[in-house]
Amino acid sequence: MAEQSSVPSDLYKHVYSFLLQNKFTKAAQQFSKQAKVPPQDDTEDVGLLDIFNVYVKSPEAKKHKAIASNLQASDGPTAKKAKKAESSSEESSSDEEDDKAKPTAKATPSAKAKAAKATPSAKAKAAKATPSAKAKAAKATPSAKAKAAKATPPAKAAESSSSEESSDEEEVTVKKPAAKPPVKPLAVTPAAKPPVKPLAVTPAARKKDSSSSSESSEDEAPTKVSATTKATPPAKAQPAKATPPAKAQAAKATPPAKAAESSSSEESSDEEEVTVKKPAAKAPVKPLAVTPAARKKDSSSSSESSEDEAPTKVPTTTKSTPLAKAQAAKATPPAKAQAAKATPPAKAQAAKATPPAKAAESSSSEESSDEEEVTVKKPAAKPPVKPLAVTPAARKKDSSSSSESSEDEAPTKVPTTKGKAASTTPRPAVPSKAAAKAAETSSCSDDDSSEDEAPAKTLTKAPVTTPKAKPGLFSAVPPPEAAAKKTPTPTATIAAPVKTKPAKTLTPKPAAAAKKPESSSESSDSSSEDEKEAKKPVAKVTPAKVTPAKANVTKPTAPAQSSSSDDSSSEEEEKSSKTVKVAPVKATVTLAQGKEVPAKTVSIARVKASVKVAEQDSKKPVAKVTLAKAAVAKKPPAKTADSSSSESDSSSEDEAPAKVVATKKPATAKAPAKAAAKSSSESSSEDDEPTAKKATPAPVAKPVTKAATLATPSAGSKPATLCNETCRQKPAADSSSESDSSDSEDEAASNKKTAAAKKTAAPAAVKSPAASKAPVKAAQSSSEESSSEEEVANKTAVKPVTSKAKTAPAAKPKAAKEDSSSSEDSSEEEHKKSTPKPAPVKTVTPATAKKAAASSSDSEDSSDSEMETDAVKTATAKPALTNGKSTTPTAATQSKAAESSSSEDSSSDEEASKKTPATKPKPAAAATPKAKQASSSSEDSSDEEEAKVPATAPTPVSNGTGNNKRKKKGKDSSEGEEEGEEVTTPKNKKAAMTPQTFPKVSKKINVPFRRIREEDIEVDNRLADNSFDAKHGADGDWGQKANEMLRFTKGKSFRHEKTKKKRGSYRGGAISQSVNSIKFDSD
Amino acid sequence: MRPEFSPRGGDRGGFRGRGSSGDRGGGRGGFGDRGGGRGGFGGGRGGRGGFGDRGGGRGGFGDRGGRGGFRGRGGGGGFRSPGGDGGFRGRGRGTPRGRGGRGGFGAGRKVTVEPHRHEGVFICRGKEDALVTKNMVIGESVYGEKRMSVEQGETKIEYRAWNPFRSKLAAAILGGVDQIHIKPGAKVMYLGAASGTTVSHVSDIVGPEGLVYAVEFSHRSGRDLLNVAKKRTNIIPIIEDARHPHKYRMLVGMVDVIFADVAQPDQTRIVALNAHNFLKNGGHFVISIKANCIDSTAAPEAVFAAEVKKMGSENMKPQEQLTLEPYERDHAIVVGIYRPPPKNKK
Repeated sequence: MAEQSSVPSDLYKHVYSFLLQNKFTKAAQQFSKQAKVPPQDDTEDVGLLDIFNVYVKSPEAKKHKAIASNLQASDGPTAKKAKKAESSSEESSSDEEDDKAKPTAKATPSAKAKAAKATPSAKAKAAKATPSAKAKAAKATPSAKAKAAKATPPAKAAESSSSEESSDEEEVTVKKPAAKPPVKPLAVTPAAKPPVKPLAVTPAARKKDSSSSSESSEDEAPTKVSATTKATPPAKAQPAKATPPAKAQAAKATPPAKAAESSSSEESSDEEEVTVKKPAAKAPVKPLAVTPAARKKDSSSSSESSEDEAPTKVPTTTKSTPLAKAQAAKATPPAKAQAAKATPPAKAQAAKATPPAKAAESSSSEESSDEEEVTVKKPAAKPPVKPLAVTPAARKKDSSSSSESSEDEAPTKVPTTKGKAASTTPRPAVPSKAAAKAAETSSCSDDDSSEDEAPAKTLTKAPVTTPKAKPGLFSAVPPPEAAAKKTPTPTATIAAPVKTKPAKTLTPKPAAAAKKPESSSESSDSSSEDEKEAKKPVAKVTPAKVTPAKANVTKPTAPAQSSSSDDSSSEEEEKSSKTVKVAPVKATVTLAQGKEVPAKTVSIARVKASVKVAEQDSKKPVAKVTLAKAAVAKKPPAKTADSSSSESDSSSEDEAPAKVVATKKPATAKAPAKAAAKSSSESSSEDDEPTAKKATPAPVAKPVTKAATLATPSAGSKPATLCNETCRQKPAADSSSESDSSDSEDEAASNKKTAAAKKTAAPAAVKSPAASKAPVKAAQSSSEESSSEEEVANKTAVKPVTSKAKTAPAAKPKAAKEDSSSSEDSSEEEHKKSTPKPAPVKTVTPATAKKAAASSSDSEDSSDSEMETDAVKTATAKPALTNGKSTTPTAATQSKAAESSSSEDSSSDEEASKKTPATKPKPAAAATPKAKQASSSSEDSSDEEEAKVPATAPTPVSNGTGNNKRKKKGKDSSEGEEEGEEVTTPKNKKAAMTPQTFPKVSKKINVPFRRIREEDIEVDNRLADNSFDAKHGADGDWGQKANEMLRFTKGKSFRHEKTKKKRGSYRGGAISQSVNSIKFDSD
Repeated sequence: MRPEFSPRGGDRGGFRGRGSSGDRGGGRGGFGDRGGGRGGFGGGRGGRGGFGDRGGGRGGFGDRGGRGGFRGRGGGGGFRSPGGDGGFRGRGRGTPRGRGGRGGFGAGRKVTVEPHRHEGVFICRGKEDALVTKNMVIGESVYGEKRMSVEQGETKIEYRAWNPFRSKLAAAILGGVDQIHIKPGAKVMYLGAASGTTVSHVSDIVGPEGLVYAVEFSHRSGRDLLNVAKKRTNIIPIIEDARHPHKYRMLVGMVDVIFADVAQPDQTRIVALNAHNFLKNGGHFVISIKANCIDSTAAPEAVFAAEVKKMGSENMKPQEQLTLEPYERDHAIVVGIYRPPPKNKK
């Protein structure tokens, strides 16, 4: 009512009449009083349909909606308009721009006021809701959101808002450009900025969402609907769910989700790659956040964009299920139930969970959008935005995205998860979330942000900006780690991974936390844009991130499905695969948590959902699964997942998944590798390269997984990568904790990442030598330039799943949009990403991979523009890192510079550099390795910078190492900027080193002062021996006895003996008067 | 084995037979080692010294040990002082005493004393041979050394034991040095006189006709030296730095022999400076060289050779070298002639 009162609307009369008709006289009177509605219309018979029609037709409806949505924020209208425009016109560019601008504007306001942020999200939702006609739901959600949002926003707003405002605008602008095909890079950069500022992220995300929505008019509408209530069809249930979650968790979740979504959408619109990356990142995040997220991701990934939605829902549901327990059967129902449950839990424990879900959804939507490229992306993005609440997004996606096979998959997934262990996993996750919530929230946000810089940002989120977030993450991380540890405990091998995951997830839940880290890392990896988004999400809170991750997952799956049909779809597939990977990550996380079953279920779900994608996804899942398997129970699920995946994968992708599954069962690592290979094979010629890369990664993963610890490592690796990212961003604390805890994992992850990404092989080699090395080699061996691309891809792959997903989307978009030529690159990147996923199989790597991939993909896609954007992102990311740690900042800046400058140039160089870094890191420490890997991955392309930054951030833990690594990497890579920066640090180190050496060297041979130079003195033979025995007449001498006594004494004892003799106790016998002296021949 | 003449001193064993003379000053003077530390003890000796000596050593009171010990120890010292003091002393010097009671070398035993080939030096032949010098100041022990008196007819001759472990000159003599050039009636410059233990014996050797210029730069040691000189008229204590002969040039006439026991790196130069100022042409020098004081890193033999070589450049012609083993570690004594006369050519 308030809304109405504030702004008159055409609908008022209808509402009034409706009220009257239904005999709500009091209400009607009240309404008329407040709304000042002309009573004349009373008589008319009004039906909801009529009202709806009127609303749809009436231009004002928008205003009303906007206003309504605006309740909290004034910008609502613009958003609605933008959305409408988008929906109405597919003109992605113009509309998107407008939308973006509006969103940004909103975002900025929101940013300013925490509440404002909440309102934006609310507005977005409301706007969506209104379109869908589920004004009530929308309103409810908005209000809830508003509240929650406000609550959550505070944190977010505080952090992101300030920076966001200005940055948001910039971002928006950037995004707009980005929105355009080439623009993407730009968009990315904006995103990157946002990431830097958590708050900013959300706006950007929103903008992105709007833009994305605008892109695909059709998609927009559905997405909007879904978003608001999320899909009218499912809408009700979804809305309800969405709202609850939104309310509960809130706003934070939603914000993050929004941010993620927006970012993802932007990315997708701008750069599919970016979006993909983001999604991936999100996905990882989600996993961290909780199994639900993973599930969502899985489902989303499986279903891809449209499908993704469903999956996303499922995930959310899964999440909810854990909490709620419902699990439910149908996807939507489950989704609802889950969502409801999830939301409650989310609220109760951690809004984060829901946020994650939202984020995931958004991300997934992004991914899906990415996959679908424009249309899908937009829708997805939009939905995600709405979803911000979380489940809503998922629902939206589901509803909006016609869940093709994906829907089925999603549902299936959900059910599976639910039925199997979903409930269990979710629950555990939830608990962990609850525990971690405080921290997790931050972590969650981190996760969200993690997608981009998200990890770092997420970390920072809690604190404030990325830097802050990092601290928070760190702090948060510990708890998560603990949780993670717990989960790990189940399986010794897993423990390590778990740890890493926890570290990542830290913020959210242990497992979730781990996932989140991953996701965050992924997000960060995903792209600078993602970073921005991620940051925003982070600011909002982990929830958003988590959801994003899920969203990503779902998106990927959707893409995968669609991709199978289309080239872009292929990209999507990759993405989906990425998402899948993410999902696996989640699964792993869950596993880590101790809920192996969930993980399995998740993986299964993922597999199902993303059949094609599944390949990649499966890989990730597999990795996770493997981990889980290692743990124990997980294996079965994995198998199921595998089977499902294999089935769904009917396509080449399917094959990969199947393989993955198989591998998973036998050896999780192998499975991933296979999946990677398959995925790579799936991809077109471009894909081929990636596949190869992927394959390499997979092998790596296999080795890792194979080893008992390896499996965990792999899982850990993903987390580790995430951790790395997070670590880098967070730096000291997180990095240390993460790196430490997840060192092995991280290392593995980083190795994987590095291997996958740059020379995954090298990294892998370092950590998991053989595997990583192989990848690296492959990547390297493959043409340098082309290979460079490949390398990038590899790198991305390394970064992994997320990166792949992101990159894939981006690549696809780009390829589709811009260049066929670029497409190769992009495709390569995508492939790479996909490959990364394999590497990610480890789960940890995915996040990093995503980031790296995203960055790399971005850079590659629009080598220059993207590079720039990436650089910017990286810069932002770096800042975050730097914030966390001084060193990291520099690294970030360096990386940025390097990225911008180096950009594509020396992908090969970068690769080399990356390799070296990766290798270095691995040796040094897990943390550093991760950082190195990340950096290495980032190095590949300009993205490398980002990666580096993350890496550095992670390295922070071991700042020195990180710096060194960075430096090394930078040096290695031809990237001038990075090199310069890195060099500087290295120099410093070197300087330190050199000083030491110099002194030594400089020291002249000191001739000790000697009064007597023996060599210059000729000693008479007779005087050669000054001993008593050499003296004449020694025998029988009065002093002979003394000689016997003092002969062997020295120092103090001699002194003592002599002192005794001084007292006169000595009896020497007879004294001779012989001359015993030696005469000089004087005469 | 009993010496023909029974040792005079009641406490033959204690070098420090303080009680014997009862004279503190003497005790001090005699006692003090050349070392500062010793000096300190010596100083503190009067009662405090007793435990200052030991206590100080233990407590690480340091130089003024005695006094410091006093103050510092306060209570501790307090109880200890009565019994402890005595106890210590008893032990320290008591060994001899306890053992021999009075007349270590045979109180009441008969010992024979025969002159050494070095004029002024005697050998006490008894159960155990000992190097002795004729005590200029009868009835007094400088540093607690044993005394033995021999009655030849109506006159009583007292000899003081000369411990080679305490005196490098004694060590050289026991070691078998050919010439010390220190004989009755000789004017000797003793560089590094320290507490005057050896100086007292040199004083005995040169006898009333001779002169000993004892140069010591350390005031602590110099205090004991002065106490020794108080009783011995043939000792001219000079508390100055041997490096600056011009500071005591008015006190010193031409000397026949320069004995140097200055453990200084530039001891050869110091000896040369004093030789140039106070040593008559054809005079002799006896230098004790402590290798570690010149270069602790080089082989002692090399150090000695280097010092000998150095002497040659200072118009100091080394004539003989002898190791002081086993009485001293890494020591050697070099005897030479300063500006040897053109030597009657044959």
